[in-house]
Amino acid sequence: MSDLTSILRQSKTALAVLGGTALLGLASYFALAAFLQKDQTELASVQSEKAASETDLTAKQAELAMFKSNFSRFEALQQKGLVGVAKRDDWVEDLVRAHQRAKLPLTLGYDLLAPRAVVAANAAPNAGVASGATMAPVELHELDVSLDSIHEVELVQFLNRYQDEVRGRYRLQSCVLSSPRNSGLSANCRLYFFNQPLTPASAARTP
Amino acid sequence: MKSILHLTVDGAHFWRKASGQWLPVEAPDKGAVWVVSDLAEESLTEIQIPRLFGRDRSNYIDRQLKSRFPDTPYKSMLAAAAPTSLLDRIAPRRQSLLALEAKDRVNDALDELKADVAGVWTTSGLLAQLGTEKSLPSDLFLVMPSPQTMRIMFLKDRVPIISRMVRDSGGAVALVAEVVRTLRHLENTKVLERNGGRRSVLVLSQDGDLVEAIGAEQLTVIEAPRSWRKMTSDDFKFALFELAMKSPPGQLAPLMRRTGFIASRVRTAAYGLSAATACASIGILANGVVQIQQDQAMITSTKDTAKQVALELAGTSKAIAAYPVSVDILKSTLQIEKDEILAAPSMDTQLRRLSVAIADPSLRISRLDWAVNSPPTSPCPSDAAGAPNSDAAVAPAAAETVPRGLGSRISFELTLPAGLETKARMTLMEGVSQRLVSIPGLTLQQDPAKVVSVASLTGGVRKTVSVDQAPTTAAWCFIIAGKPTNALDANKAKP
Repeated sequence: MSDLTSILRQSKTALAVLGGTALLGLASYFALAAFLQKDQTELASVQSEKAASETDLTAKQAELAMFKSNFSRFEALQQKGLVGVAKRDDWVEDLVRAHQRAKLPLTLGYDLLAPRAVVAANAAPNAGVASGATMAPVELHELDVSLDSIHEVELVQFLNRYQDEVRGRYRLQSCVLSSPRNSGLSANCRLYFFNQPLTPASAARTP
Repeated sequence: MKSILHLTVDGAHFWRKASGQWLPVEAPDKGAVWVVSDLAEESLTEIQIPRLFGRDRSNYIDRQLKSRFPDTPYKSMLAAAAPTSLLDRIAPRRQSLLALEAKDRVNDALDELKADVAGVWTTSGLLAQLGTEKSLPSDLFLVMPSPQTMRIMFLKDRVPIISRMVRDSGGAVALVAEVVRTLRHLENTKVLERNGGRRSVLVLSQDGDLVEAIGAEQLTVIEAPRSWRKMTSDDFKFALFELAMKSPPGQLAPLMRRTGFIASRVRTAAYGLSAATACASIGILANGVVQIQQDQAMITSTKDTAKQVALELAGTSKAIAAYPVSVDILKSTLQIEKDEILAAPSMDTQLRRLSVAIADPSLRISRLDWAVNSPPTSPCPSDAAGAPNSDAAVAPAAAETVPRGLGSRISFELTLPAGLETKARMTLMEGVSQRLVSIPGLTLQQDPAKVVSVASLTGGVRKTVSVDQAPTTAAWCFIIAGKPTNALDANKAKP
């Protein structure tokens, strides 16, 4: 038996205790590490879910706040015809009626073009065409109006009256006044009617 | 308790330190025994070694030890003294070897010993170790008297050269004669130069006669360092014992004799490591358990919060669902109202301003083209930028530093009164232009007054332009910027 073997034999109990302790320590360490890893994973997952919920909540609260502060205005616009199905027939009838009431010469001509989809300036990311099937795009209806033998003041009064009476929201896009005569001018104006359909189906008429 | 077995010419003696005092004992206590020999058979030699490293070096030294001291297992090398460079520290070229050739006597002593042997050190080796003290001269005689003998050792450059044991046969004078004889021997063998001056001698004894006798022989007696004197009261062998207890280099016993001691050291180390491992494991486990508890508490707390958030979310969703339209439609509607309708300029207002600018009843508008400047194009009909009534899609307003509502582009043509002289026409047109540019936000793009001022002027006898042939119309075109969007209040607007 070599000297080294003799030393090891005399120390075997102590070495066995050391080995056992080391093994036990290692086993405890790895078990603990596994538990900690599991806990950390679970914690990360729970925190991630919570963060997602909080983000959703913030967005929903912002939506609710928007509804609370703007819904009355929205209802007013809906009443006025900016939202829902476009009443194209009514717009034309109202135009004729306003012309008759203004007692202007019977020179009114009009042309209501087929609607087309538009993207509003500064439109919300989900609004308009970009929203695809979830939301109908805003429609633009162009109404060309022509009048002869009309003075500037009469034209302005006629358009103001029409704006008050028509169940729709439009802006005066352009007006060309020409051919001055003693009886008045020729006026060719274009009105942009805007309409936000409530369902995508009603917007399917986009040319 | 540690014990020393002191092997001397007159036998083996056990010593043990108790209460700071070394006391002779009959037998060692439990525990290992450090063996210190003080025998005549202690041999010193110095060898030259090639610059070898590691195992090659140790194998070379082993071979040298076996060849120089073949009859004894008690042999070793001493630590190199005062290396001058890193290389000399790692692999010194000179190496002192030490052996204890009284093999049988040492074997007998160790065989009788009923305790573990920590190791065997020689007095020569221990003195060589003590002689490396930096406060001492590098060339030094060490003289250590014992009751019947005296050890004489010489170190040159702190390296042991010779170690002799002489019998004390005639008192101090005889002993000093042995020192002188040793000096002469070193001079004869050219280890020392003759007439090299007074040699330093350190006498490890309180014997005043011996010190006086040495001083009389042209030798300089020096004092032992204070640290040595602290270790011993009157006998300097205790300083050697103290040094031996630290297990310095120069241990001579083979491993076979030390297995018990080394095994006990291994056991101590193993148990110590086991305890340290257990403590570390317990610490790590405790820390881990605390961490797990904290994580669990955080998980529970986060889950509770998430549950509350989910409840709140459900309530908010329910409140939103009560509205008949989606938020996207609401936003889009408000956006259209604000950006496309309320932001549009009023033709009525702008025509009023225009009429104020013209401000001359003799002038008549022959043509007026008013349009919302969206998409932005040139207001002048002659420009190729496009007609105001373009069918292009309504695009977002051009990016500006200050967001503004929609602007307008206007072009108009005035019929000028007939018969006006050129200067009067110019004055009239300049007046209109000046009044136009005073309208806020208006940018004039075509000014007939400027066109006329840079046009060719013809007159005199060469060619006369009649008043009737002068142009009868003048055209302006300009744009009016929209109002800043923050000035547009949708809620106050008329639906």
